[in-house]
Amino acid sequence: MKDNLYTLGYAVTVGAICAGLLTAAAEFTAPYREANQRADEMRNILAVLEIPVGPRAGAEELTEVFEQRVRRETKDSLTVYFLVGDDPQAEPELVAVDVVGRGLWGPIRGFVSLEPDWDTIRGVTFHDHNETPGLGAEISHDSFLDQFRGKRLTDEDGRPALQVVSSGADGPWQVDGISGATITCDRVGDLMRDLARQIQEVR
Amino acid sequence: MMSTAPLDPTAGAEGCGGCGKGFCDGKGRAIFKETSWTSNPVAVQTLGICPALAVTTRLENSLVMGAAMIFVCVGSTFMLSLLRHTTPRRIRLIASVAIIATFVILIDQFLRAFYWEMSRQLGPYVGLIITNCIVLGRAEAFAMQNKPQLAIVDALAAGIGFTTILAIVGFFRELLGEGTLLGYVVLHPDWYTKNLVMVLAPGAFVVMGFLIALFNWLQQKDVQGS
Repeated sequence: MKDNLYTLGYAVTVGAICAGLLTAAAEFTAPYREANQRADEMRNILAVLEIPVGPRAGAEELTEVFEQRVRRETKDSLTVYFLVGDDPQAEPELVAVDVVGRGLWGPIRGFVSLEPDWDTIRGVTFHDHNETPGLGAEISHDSFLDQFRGKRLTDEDGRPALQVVSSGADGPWQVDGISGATITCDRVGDLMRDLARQIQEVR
Repeated sequence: MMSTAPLDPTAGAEGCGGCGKGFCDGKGRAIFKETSWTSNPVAVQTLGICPALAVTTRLENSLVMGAAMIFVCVGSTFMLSLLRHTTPRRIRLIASVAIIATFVILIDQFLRAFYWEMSRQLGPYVGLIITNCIVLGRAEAFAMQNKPQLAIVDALAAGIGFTTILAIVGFFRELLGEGTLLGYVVLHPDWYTKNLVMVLAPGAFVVMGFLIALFNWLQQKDVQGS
């Protein structure tokens, strides 16, 4: 009995000390980790807006470039990032929107940049997802993402039309999917058509 | 000269004539050599192969991973050695894992906060140090039976042995795979064709294979020589 009590007490003490240490560490590093996450997000937005930054640029440099070149606006459910050129009054030549959709294992988050017509795609990134490594996770590789350049979100009648097809993509409304990642690719298609609908609502 | 250093604490004293008694009567050196060289955790015991294959695409990654490993190994075995008389045997393993996990999460949080890019590249492998056989192996096989000072020496030896192997693998993979070292261009892309095999996992297997062979050869010579 005494033995059991000792074991229990020991376990509780070790557990409490470890938990205390970890809580303190998490609290202490939280602001730094959040800053890193924000910097990462900025880097992605800058990348789809085609603003060059060094691969080793730190959080401060990114924030500076971001505040200079990007204007953020929230329109209903859509967060829009406008590329600010040399003349701040001119129409932005590129806009980026943040997209979230359902993936196979968890949410897919990314950014899509569009030409001023709000329909033709310039660039896409998916920076946060839990898709299967080697299969669905390939959606964040350039070989897949580069296909979106120049594609259109809606067809001539204004209906959401972009599709990810299994093979033989043709025309401005289709991109090739990834073999072995059918569900992920379908979800990416859903996400793009959702985006088209959202854009129509806010414009 | 220390190749025959005995583990007997009384014999080490005169063996180290010039430099005094040495650490813990010369025991420290013998332990260091045994853990880092004679039974190197990666090249001889083939433990910790998973991170050795996964994070060694670049030299920098290997070094950071090694440093994390040294921190965890030294910190946790020291604590476990301190607590070795008070830990109830029945929950020995659980207590070990809890303490190791604490150190791992500490270093993981630290990397995430101050070394973000590296933390992303190392991915889950820093967290996976928790399950690394080297740490638990040193804790169970050594720290539980020895004084804290010796446990530190042993853990340091294991960590340095691990880091050295990772650094050698990382050196060759980065040099041959990307033509760079620590990010600086060494083999210029104009005349050097990057070797993709070295970037991928098979390259690590090849380098590891050669390293293990080299270790076997050197140690065989060592045995024959003495």
